[in-house]
Amino acid sequence: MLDLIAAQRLDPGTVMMWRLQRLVRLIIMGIPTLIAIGYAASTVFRFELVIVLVLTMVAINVVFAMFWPALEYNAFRYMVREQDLLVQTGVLFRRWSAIPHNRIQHVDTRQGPLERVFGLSRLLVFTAAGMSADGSIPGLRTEDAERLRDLLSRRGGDDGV
Amino acid sequence: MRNASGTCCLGAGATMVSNSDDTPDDTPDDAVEPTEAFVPGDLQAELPTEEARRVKPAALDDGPTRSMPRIQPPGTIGNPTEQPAPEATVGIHLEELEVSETVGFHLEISETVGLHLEEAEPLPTEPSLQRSPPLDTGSAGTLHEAETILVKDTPWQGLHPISLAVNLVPRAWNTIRSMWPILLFVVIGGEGAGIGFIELFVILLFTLASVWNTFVHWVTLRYRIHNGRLEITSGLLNRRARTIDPARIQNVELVQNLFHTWAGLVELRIDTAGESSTEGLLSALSVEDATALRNTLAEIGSLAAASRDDAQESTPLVTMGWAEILAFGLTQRTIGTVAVLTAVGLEIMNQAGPELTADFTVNMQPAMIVAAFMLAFVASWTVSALSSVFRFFGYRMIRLPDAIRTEQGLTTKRRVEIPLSKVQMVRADEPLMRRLMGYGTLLIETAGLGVIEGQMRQAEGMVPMVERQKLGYIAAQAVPHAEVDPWTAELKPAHPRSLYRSIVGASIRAGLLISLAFTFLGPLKWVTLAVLPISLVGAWLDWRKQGWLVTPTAIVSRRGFFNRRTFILSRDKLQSIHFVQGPLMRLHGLSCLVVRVAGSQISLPETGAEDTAWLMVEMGQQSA
Repeated sequence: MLDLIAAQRLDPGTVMMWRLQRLVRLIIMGIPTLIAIGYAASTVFRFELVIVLVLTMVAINVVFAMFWPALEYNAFRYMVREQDLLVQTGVLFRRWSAIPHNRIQHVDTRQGPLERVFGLSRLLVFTAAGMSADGSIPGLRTEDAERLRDLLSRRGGDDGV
Repeated sequence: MRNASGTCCLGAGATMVSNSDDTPDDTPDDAVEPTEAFVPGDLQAELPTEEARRVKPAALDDGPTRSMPRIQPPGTIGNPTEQPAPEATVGIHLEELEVSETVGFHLEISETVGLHLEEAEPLPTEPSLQRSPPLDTGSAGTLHEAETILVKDTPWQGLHPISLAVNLVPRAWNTIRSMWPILLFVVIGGEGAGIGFIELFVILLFTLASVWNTFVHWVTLRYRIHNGRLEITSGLLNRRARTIDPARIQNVELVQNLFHTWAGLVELRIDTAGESSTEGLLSALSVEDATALRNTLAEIGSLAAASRDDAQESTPLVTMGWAEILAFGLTQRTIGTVAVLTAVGLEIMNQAGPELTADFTVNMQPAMIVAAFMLAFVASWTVSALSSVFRFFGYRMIRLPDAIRTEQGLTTKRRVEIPLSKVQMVRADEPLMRRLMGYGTLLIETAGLGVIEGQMRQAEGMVPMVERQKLGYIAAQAVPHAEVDPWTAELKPAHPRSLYRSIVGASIRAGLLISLAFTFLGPLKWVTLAVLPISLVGAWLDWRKQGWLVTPTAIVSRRGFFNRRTFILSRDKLQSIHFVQGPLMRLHGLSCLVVRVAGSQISLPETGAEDTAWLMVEMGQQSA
């Protein structure tokens, strides 16, 4: 659906940000979980074996956190067309979304702490379809995100509800 | 800054929300522009109706758009002079200004408004209405007299006095019913222990609380039509005020339970797309009041024309006879469920262990066990048949010029009106049993997310039993713009590779089940081998019966064999379009189209590359 030449990509800084996000998540959530599991497992298996296993898991996760964001970045495209917003996303599970401008109810920009460091923002596009955002574009330069937000939220029309 | 935002509030009821997060570093001319446009005096002259306000920004639109290129701070959005299409925002915020829901938002409003009201003379802005006690209608009313309002404002009205009695019993009963375990405990074992008194006291306390709630609800609830909107306020300590734009009403439901019937009252439930719970607000109005309110809402809103009582005489599209009502109840539980339940029950009996089985066999013959099961099934069927009678007695569906009305119920009578313009989707359920009887069920869905009596409502409108030949016709009544009849039109089949996928999936699932059975089950394990062919045939049948159709006006998707569902939606209701492809689907070159409408989403069967490409082009044009 996306004309890949005309489509736009995210800010290149996104890759680094996603890597850091994954690392932070790994440190906060993943490693304690692994340690807990390892602790439980050490009652059954030999301690050295458990240590090796946990370390391997951590290493795999770190490697994954390093290369996966690049793939995600490569897979992501978006394009604002005359009538709609197109978003292509997903490495394994690919998803193309088209959101007509006149169906957009509101547009949010959001920024987490890491995103603020990188000067990036997320853009969430909501329609009347449901509670969750219909389209989401992570990793836009904040000023781009705000410009896009204003652009998208400007169009009116029948919302079909 | 305070002042500036205060004026903005007056400018447009809706925009003040976003305006309140104006950053102080606004450029000076930004701060000036709105004040120039909305000098309070100017405002007073024509603040007026919503329509006037909508026009105003449009006229000013040309100037400020130049500011678009120079990137504005977030404040831009909320700036009323620069909002070419405020409808969306206005709609969102005015649709339901409910304080309890988004506290953060509306607290801000009330703050600003409160401030403003102290500073200046009270102007009839939306928020001031919302906050003001019901008593000061006089002043607000006179202020509005000069304006061009489509519908005359009504004075504040309250619930019918008998509502106290009508609401009391059900509420108290609900409270008691929710505490039945304690009650059971008291009745059975509580005596002697002296615990009974405390428990009973607790129950009494809760009952009294619910009585008190009913009383407060009756005393404080006030509603009126004001500025073309329905306003409802209630609550003593936690005050709630709700403003409903009649154009946003998804459907109106008139409910009359036994108490209502005896007292000649009726409950009016108004469903908008935003609120999940519609119950209990206008819980007891006199029939005249309810009809009057409904008619007024119809005049200004999306509902059908006001004088519709003559529709009573028009012939209903669908009615239900006793046989059909009972058949509906009996087919609620499909053969599949019964079979599974039987199997599970038998398995539990076998697995319960030799001691337990021995225990059972001492006390009870196997034949008796089987008989008990049969009895259970008969009982469950009876219950569902009975509940079907209670729900659908006297069912009829009437097509009004621009709405659909259904009436149903034995003790609790319901009358639902759905404006045709609000119908998002029609779903036809044809479970195998019902299909064999030559019937199907139609569900008419709007954007309202209803929670009725504690459970998620499937659909706003329901036609329980429709003869198969009439399904297409009735569905077309509900979605007239779709112009398609899936029961006569030829649907496109799912891709052959999709069959391959589902067969592989079914075999894997069956294999897992069988291997589990072989590890854990006793002699019965051989029976589970039958799962494999059954699931394979099931997968094939499911695939065979899938179909989709995309016409310039409609999208049709049909899934499933045992519980066949057909979705029909009009393309002008589409909210967004998605193509989804998993890794395995990519392997086969398949993808799946998912379309979302307000309130629900449907997916088409898996399509091959060619069809997908066609769909992409076709749906791309849709966005126009």
